Amino acid sequence: MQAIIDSTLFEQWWLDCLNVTQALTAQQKKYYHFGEAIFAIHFYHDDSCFFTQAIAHVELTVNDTHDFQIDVIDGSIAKLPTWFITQHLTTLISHHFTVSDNQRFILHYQKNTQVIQFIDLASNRAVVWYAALSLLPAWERSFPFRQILHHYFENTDYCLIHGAAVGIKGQGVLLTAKGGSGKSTAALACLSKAWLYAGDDFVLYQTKTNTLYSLYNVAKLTPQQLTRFNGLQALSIAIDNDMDKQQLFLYPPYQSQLIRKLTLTAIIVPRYEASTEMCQLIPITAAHALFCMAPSTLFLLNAKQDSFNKLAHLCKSIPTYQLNTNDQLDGIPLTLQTLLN
Amino acid sequence: MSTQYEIANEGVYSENFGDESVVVNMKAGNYYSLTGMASYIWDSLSAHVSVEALENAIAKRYHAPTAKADVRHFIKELVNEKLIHPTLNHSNADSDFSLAPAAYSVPLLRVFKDLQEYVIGSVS
Repeated sequence: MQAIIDSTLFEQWWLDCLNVTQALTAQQKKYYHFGEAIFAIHFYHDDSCFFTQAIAHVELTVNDTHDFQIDVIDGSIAKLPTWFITQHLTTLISHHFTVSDNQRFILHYQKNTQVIQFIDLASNRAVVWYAALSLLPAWERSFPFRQILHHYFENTDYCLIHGAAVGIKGQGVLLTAKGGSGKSTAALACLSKAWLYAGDDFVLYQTKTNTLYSLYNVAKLTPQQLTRFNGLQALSIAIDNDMDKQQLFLYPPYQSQLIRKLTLTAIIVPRYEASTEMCQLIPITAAHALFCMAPSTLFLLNAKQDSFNKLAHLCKSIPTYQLNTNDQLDGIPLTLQTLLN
Repeated sequence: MSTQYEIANEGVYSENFGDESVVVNMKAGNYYSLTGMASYIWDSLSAHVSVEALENAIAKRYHAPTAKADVRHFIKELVNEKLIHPTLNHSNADSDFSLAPAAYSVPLLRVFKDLQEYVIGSVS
């Protein structure tokens, strides 16, 4: 849970941090489309690949304006002022999240990886500082900036959802469940049959328009699961030792199938059982869908009540199904296709 | 004096779907399914209905011999899970049966703790 610290202290440290960025020259200025918002990301070092490989499919070539700016600073280029961290070290370590009393500033401090994410929701700007790339866990590469995206969108009609999304001709389904339920396998089974793919792990949902937006072009599979997808084994793969999974970056090889947004038609909760006779859809209650979608989404993002309310509203708004799957991957797109015709 | 509870106000989210409620405890990393009379009892506690008023109203309406014991047991489970806690802010709110189930069924709380490692900060 979060701790709260006086906003005047936060503001002073924020200004100190901005002074650091202003003294630097950005080596790369990139723009990305998340939802209908444009994010400018400034990198103050040459190699931005760790942070950009998963979001390369939503990069804009050039843009004059942006809605949010992120400054990414490598520890070898510059240090952030330490007085705030030193002063509140115990609080920052024990709470992980610290928020200013006026809710304007949010600070994530990860002591083990030495990463600081500092967000100012008033100026729509964030600073990400890390001591060294070598200290960052491999899984961070697959969903960069998710906390910043979450905090920016949480106060809007968008919300991040832990799940995958695939579709046909602009219509899509959300695959959601806790890890190990078969989300990634189901999504990749559809990708291998030429379906559109809007992402895995986290997707962005807009309540007003019932639209799912892509965030990350990544899929994660165990080495054993990967052997079932012949075409995927040649992709750029990063090993994730912590999660025992491999990260597959689908851009650029699957560029033509990566879709930025889909209209959501159904929520699907995959359930793998080798003994299942045939792949089939079974209607489930909205409560059961929320039960499968909300806890992992909320826990992974430390989300507020507003996010829970959006997820509950979504589950009540559209059809919800359990997808029973077995080892016959072809059955997954064939079965889901019945929802999109 | 009547016994009154309130929902823990930090990080406990709930949604009532009629025949089932979904509750999430952000601090503990636990989540819950409330079925039977449980959704109705949860909403009544949220509306500051006292335990005694709730027990009496349920027993009278449904003529269920185990109702009082069931309600007490369910509330004890909620307290153990730190989803509710006693409050000194007493009110005289009455049980509203407009959304209550047509027939009595034992209030059930199913507890799920398998996602605690997903809670940010749970692993350092």
